[in-house]
Amino acid sequence: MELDLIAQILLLGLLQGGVYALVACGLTLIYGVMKIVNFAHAEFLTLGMYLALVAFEQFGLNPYVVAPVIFGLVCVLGAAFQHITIRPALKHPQINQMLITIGISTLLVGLIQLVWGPNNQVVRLPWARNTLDIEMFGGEISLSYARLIAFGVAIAIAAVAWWALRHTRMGMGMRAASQNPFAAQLMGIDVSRINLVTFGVGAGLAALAGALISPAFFMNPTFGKEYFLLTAFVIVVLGTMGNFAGALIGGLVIGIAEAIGGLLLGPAMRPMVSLSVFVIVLLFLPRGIFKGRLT
Amino acid sequence: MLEIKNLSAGYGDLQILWNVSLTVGEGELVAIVGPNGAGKTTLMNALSGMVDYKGGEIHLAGAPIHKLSPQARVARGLIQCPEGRRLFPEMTVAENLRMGAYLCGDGAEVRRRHEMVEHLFPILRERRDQIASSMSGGQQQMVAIGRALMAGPKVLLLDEPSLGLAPIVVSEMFEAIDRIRNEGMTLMIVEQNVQQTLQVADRAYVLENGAIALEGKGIELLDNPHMKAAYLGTE
Ligand SMILES: Nc1ncnc2c1ncn2[C@@H]1O[C@H](COP(=O)(O)OP(=O)(O)O)[C@@H](O)[C@H]1O
Ligand SMILES: [Mg+2]
Repeated sequence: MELDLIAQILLLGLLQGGVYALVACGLTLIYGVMKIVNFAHAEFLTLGMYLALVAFEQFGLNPYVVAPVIFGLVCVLGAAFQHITIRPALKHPQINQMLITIGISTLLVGLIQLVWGPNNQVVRLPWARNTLDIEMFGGEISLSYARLIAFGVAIAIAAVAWWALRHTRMGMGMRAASQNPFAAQLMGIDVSRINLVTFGVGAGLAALAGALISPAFFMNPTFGKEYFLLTAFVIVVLGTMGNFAGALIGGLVIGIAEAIGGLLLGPAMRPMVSLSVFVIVLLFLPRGIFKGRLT
Repeated sequence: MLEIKNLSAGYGDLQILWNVSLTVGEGELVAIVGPNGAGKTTLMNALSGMVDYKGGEIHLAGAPIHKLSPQARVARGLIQCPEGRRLFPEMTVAENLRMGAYLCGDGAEVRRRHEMVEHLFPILRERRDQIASSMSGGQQQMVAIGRALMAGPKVLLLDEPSLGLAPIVVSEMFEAIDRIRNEGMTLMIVEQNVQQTLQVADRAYVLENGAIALEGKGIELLDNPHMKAAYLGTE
């Protein structure tokens, strides 16, 4: 195989990995703080895509411009879901909370289908489909602006969130609640408020990722579930459940691993790569490659 | 400073504390001793609002606090350093201390408290950037006490500060507690280490089966026949 083609595929994998990282960061944040496995996570991503579609088609707004608004909206929505459905179950066994998030997932898929229909749709932003062409290894590598922007913004946001966890009061409160909720309360931290914000921000990050990829992917009501849910879980487990930096790095690793897998085994086998990594990690590194919580 | 009247508390339907009444005066060091499972930790957590309240009153500096949330009690200056230290294991020493001052919005005041804690426990200055869980038990206990002091307590509740520490470290811990007391702090301390605790305490209460069985001056209780038989093994 030609070197330039290999480079092209690896770079695409890396770009995809950046988006994975952002999605996984939200998931790992929610797990880290609340010890909840959020099966509705991918639906927040799907919702972000559709909100970007509405903003584009109804108001002519570019997804990259409305992404912060979508983030804010879905933060509030996620927090509301947390408050109404999950908070009352926090004292009950974890399986209850898991079932509740599965319920939220089903509800959201149904609502999205009801409002926007089952067909594939995309944000038609022609310039975003143009490519940046780079001469490399005697050939040309083409990367679409849509994917480049999604990667750059996703990584930047994830990095900002990582910084905020260590340097803002709310972020420190989240880390404290993640590491010892009992002691956090003894220090005057309102852990139920932290939970509310955490779930909101986690959902918001997924929606933000959805908005960022809306010009690059066709969306349908089960898009998130089909293309991101399993991968996000693999990344979170690989990077150690609840470890934020782990999710960031894990996202990039899985993006590239999928690309290599696709290259060696054919594109149809790409999803197998995530699954194989998942099984291998669960068998040999059940606690992931990093240790610890929101470190 | 801290006044507890007929306090009852427990876990769900299980009542552990039965009409506990006690007081801690300003600047006093009051000890709670009693056998394992007597309800000492439950008492501390009832004061902090962390277990189910079942009746009675808690007054801090004259104001009732038994209906307040745990956060509101911390904001009023009732601070607990919990049994088993409960540090934030993957934060550094400095970060753990910083979390103690979570409710303090004044940066200069936080730095002043940090300075005071590092003065009290110089080892914490040296180990500022060390991850808390990688420290020895005694050092972790210092972080835990330091973290509680960072909250600016009016009353400091210490639950078994010497638990699991080597004898020499236990002595250091008691010296540190004595220094905190000499700064004018009001302290309520739960201890298994009855002999050493009664020697430093102004007054003490003996908690048995969730109720106060005996109270008196620290040194007087050392001579009490019941105490000698049950706790001191000196009879
Ligand atoms: N979380 C809990 N749920 C139910 N019972 C508890 C809980 N924690 C402690 N207990 C019970 O409360 C009683 C008092 O425990 P505790 O306050 O820890 O005693 P002490 O600190 O004096 O050793 C014990 O019988 C213990 O089993
Ligand atoms: Mg105890």
